[in-house]
Amino acid sequence: MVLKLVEAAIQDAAAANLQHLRKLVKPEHLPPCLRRLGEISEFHNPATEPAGLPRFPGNYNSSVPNGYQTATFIAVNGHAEASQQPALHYLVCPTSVVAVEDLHTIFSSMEPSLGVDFEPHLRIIPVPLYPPSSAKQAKDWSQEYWPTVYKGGNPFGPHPALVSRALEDVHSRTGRCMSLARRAGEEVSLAAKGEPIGAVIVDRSGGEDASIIAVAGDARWHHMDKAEEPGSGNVTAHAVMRAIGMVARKRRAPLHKGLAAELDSEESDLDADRPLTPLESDVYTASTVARDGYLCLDLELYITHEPCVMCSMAILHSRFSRVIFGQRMLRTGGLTAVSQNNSGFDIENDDQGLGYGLFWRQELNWRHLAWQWLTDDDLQTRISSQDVHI
Amino acid sequence: MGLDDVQVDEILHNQKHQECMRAALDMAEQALASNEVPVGCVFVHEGQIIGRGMNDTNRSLNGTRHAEFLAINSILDNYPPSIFRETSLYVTVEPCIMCASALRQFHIKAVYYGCSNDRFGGTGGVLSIHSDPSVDEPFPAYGGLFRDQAIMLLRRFYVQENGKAPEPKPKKDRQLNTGIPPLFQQRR
Repeated sequence: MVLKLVEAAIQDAAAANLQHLRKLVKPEHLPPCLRRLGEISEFHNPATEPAGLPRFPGNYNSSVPNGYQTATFIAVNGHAEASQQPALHYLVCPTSVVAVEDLHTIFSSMEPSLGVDFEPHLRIIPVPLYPPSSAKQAKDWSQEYWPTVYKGGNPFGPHPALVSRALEDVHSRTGRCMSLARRAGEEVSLAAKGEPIGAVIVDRSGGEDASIIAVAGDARWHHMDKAEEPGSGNVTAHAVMRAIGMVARKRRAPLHKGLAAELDSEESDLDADRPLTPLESDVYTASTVARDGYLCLDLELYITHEPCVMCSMAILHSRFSRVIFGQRMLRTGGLTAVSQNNSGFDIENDDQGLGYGLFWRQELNWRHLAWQWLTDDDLQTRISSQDVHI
Repeated sequence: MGLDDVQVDEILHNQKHQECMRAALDMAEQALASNEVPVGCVFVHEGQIIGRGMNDTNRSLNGTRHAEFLAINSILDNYPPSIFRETSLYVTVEPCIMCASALRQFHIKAVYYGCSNDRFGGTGGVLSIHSDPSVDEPFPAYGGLFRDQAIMLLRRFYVQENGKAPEPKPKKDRQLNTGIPPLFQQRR
């Protein structure tokens, strides 16, 4: 009953993400640090201690180890002496939603319906802001902060079950697609049009018969001399950008003309989106794409190296569903989320990765699955300079 | 890249900057007239506009055809990539993460933008690709130049319906909101 009244009074309480935290907790299930306090009656009682907020002993402003953030929550211990029932501990809501003073007001306004014996004890405690990512973590947090439940999810990425199902699906074609991407990179490199980087786009909407709809090599040096150009060439002609451009170009091609005829026509609004090598042309004209398809929705991208920040965001803008890359690029790659030492990127000393994780970020409006393909060196074209943008 | 209020004020009221941003707003108007998200830009080299671009994602069916990319491609038809080292960009909306990374790889001299982009801005809106540690030199980005006009263009677009969306949302009851919230914190 107390619960319902409080929830009715604090409308935003439901909005807070409490899925991983137990709402009602019996005293014996409290973490030791909170239980001990309960025994020595250090709960804040507004009737006897009108001034000052209760202070949780210890470091409640600090974060949980491993960089997990905490939020401060208000917990209530309602105790009705006459009823002889054990006092339940109720986690109300984040302190950002309601001030402790206001909560006192709410409780006093409820008094008539709660009965004279009810004395709420309020205090502010730290709890983990995000759900745990393993059962062990939930257990540890339950011991240290507040009873926490592991629901098999992962707040920092896609659900593990989703990942393993998708992995099973892509596994059968990854080798084939990656070797094609590698060939695409070798062709442009031999022709001095670009770096040995290649990308392949696969349409898996046909179920078992996933088809390759675009192949593109890097073309940053197309129409220019690498030796005479001080910079990174035409940045917009990276393999990923070209492959995305080819898919769009195929979707736009007039139905009656056919893809080969469209390529022969003079109409070329963007050179870099046209196939440049025999391999690129063959794939471009051999397969069709759904004309009513939306951007690269439901498509998979295979690329020889980890895409740069620009290409990683282009992949998100294009609504891809899966990305598999070969060599990791520690100083330019935008996909990988981990920066191995967790201390951020230091361009002078660090070779641990940029840590952007541009495939699964809560604040961006699209997310997809991404894997690094680990294979023998002789199946990969490795780029030795980590400063190259892919 | 800290600027004090006086310096920011100077940029916002500098006639040359205003002229360039007006040219970018003209491109955004063109985008709106052709049913594109109204974002426009110009690239300026030694006081001359060397490239113009407007958003082209709807026509091209390519979600990466942002205004900056169109302008860059037209510039590369006539100049080597090294021209960007001495070129500034004026764009009505803060460059997205993709464009910010492209601009940094081209070693752009500076970026001036109208309103910030809190959905995928790359120069402070969501990430700070312009100033984060990277193998490429950082570039300065200044926001707020004709911010109100940039926002109003976007609003005029978004009160329309998007027939191409997988699930178009009916918007016939929507009204154009003309109030612009004050900018409490200058984005840089």
